[in-house]
Amino acid sequence: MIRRPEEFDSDFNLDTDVVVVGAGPGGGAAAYVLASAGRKVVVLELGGHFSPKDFTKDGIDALTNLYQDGGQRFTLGNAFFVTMFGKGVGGGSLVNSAISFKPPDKVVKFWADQGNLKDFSPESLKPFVEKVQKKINIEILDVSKLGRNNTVFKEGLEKLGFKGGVVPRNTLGCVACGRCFYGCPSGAKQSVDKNFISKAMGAGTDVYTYARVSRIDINEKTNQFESLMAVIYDPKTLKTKCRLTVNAKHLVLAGGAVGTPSLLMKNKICNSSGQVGQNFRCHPSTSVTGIFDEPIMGYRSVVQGYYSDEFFDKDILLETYWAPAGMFGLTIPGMGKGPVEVMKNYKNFAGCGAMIRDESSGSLSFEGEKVQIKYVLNERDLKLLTEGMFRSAEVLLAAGAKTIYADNPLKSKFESLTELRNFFDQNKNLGPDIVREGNHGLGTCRMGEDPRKSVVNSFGRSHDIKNLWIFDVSTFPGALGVNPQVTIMTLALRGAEYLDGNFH
Amino acid sequence: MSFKKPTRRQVLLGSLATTVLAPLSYILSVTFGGYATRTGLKFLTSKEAAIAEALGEVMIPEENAIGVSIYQIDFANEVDRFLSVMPSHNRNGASLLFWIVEHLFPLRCFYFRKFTRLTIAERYKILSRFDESPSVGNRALVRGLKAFVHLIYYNHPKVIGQIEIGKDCTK
Repeated sequence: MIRRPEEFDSDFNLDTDVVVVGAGPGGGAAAYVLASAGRKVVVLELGGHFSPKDFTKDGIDALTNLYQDGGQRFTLGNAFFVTMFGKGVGGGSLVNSAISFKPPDKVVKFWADQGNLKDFSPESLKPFVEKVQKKINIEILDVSKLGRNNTVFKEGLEKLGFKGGVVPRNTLGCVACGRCFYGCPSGAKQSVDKNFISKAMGAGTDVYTYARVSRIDINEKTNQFESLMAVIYDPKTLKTKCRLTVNAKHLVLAGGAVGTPSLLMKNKICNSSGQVGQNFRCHPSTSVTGIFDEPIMGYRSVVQGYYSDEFFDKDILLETYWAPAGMFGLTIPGMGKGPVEVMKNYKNFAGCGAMIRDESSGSLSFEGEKVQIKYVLNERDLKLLTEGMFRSAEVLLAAGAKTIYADNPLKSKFESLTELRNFFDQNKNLGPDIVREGNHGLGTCRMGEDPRKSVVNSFGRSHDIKNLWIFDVSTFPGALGVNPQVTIMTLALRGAEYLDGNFH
Repeated sequence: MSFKKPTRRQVLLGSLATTVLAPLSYILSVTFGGYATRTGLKFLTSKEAAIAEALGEVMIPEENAIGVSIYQIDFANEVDRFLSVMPSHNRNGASLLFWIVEHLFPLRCFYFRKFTRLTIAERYKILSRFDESPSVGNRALVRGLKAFVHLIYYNHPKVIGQIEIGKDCTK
């Protein structure tokens, strides 16, 4: 069951088989496997538990309740852009756009080769991928239900002869209201709280909300995890209500690409390889806005319903997107009356963008609760982003957009394909200004079979502390290139089944 | 009433008060004074609220196509609501940024007044200079401020009500 701060007034202890830190896709899947196998599981979650009626149009509420640091976590390097990390029971799956791509074969093979991973191939992962797909209810909507923001993109792709398709999404009766990023108000999105966590709770798991882990205790003699301490805080005042100590046989960390390395580094554990907090990737993306004569009403469309993998061999994935107006406003260059006038035509906007599988690598450092993300985009990635911006704009212009806003330092407004192509023929690298966002933080506790070069093995087991496991996006050895939730759940299911089979 | 000659110590203390306290009080009044007192704010000071509004006035002019001004949404209060639940390092970062905007930004155009004391046109000129700067850092700074203002403004239900045609999102 869900445990809330108001239930507790004084410090307390718990004894359990497994304590899971983080109730997102990784933690949720692991809790489900272990609880279903009869293990006693306790889950600690930094954020709260929400129902669809809690998800309003109030963006400030959404950012503060559903995103770590209010969604204001920036990279420092040659670019300065935001990387957003979800929080709450459901984690990132509460605020993603439900995109459910399976792990791309080429990437799985690349990871397996790079990390010399045992029994790690598209074939060996397939049964776990299928379990995830079934459990989170992936549906492919009929094009007629996607909304105009997606169908104009499809028309543009067809005119240019680019391949593409409807995005597979974990929804059940999506009403296409364009609000995925602020939590699904219809309850259609099958975020982890609705499947894995709910099943785990059915099997006796307790999920403690607003719990921040402050300390992990390791027995120095046995070099085994023994217990952890967390504070349960009041979400309104952020003040500590009480302290919770959990004694467990195994610890599963699933706090994501920042949360997990933060705990390891603060407690100075599992870092004999020196790889904790290194190899940060973030799937940087760029976006363009097209203005059409007809109303597009993206806010009555599926947020990200259509994609093109025409350039996926080059590590570029094109996807439609719709954002709340607050995020859209940023794509319109300039200040003052002009951009506000453009925003008045919000109903005629269409949006799409490009996400790349980045090879640039960053690192994290921590000071108290503060995280610093150092990330420098290399030339290869900047060129890919520039090409991604060009292709995105090309698709919308081909679909009939009258004006394209592709915010960059040289020229942001385009009104014809010829003008666009001439510009991008001469400018192959527009620099870091065009990065709109780092979509998914990845890879800060990478997996591998060599303890000198990796933090965990391919099953998520720490090389240093044998009863500490990591089942989240931080174990990815590199960027994935597609939205990661299915891959996270796949690896968590696989790891948790292995943990259950080796439980002692 | 007799006049007693001051001791050397009293003279020294008096001089010290004149040379240290007077400039200090001037600096404090210039730094903190002159801002309308705001009540009901959890995190922002009255000064920071004024700076936030000064930024908002440049990015979202009072008379605009959408028809909602930053005053109609109580912009400073919304900024405060956003920042008040942030971790302390984010809030401190915002405070520092407000200070930089207020005291250092005007120097970019050789204005020797605080940002909040400039006209909207003068503020616009400063932000445009930063936005067109060859330095990525300068551009990023202004884009970050723009992002912040837009995030607050365009997320407000009053503004959304003007640009979206609502839909029942419940099943």
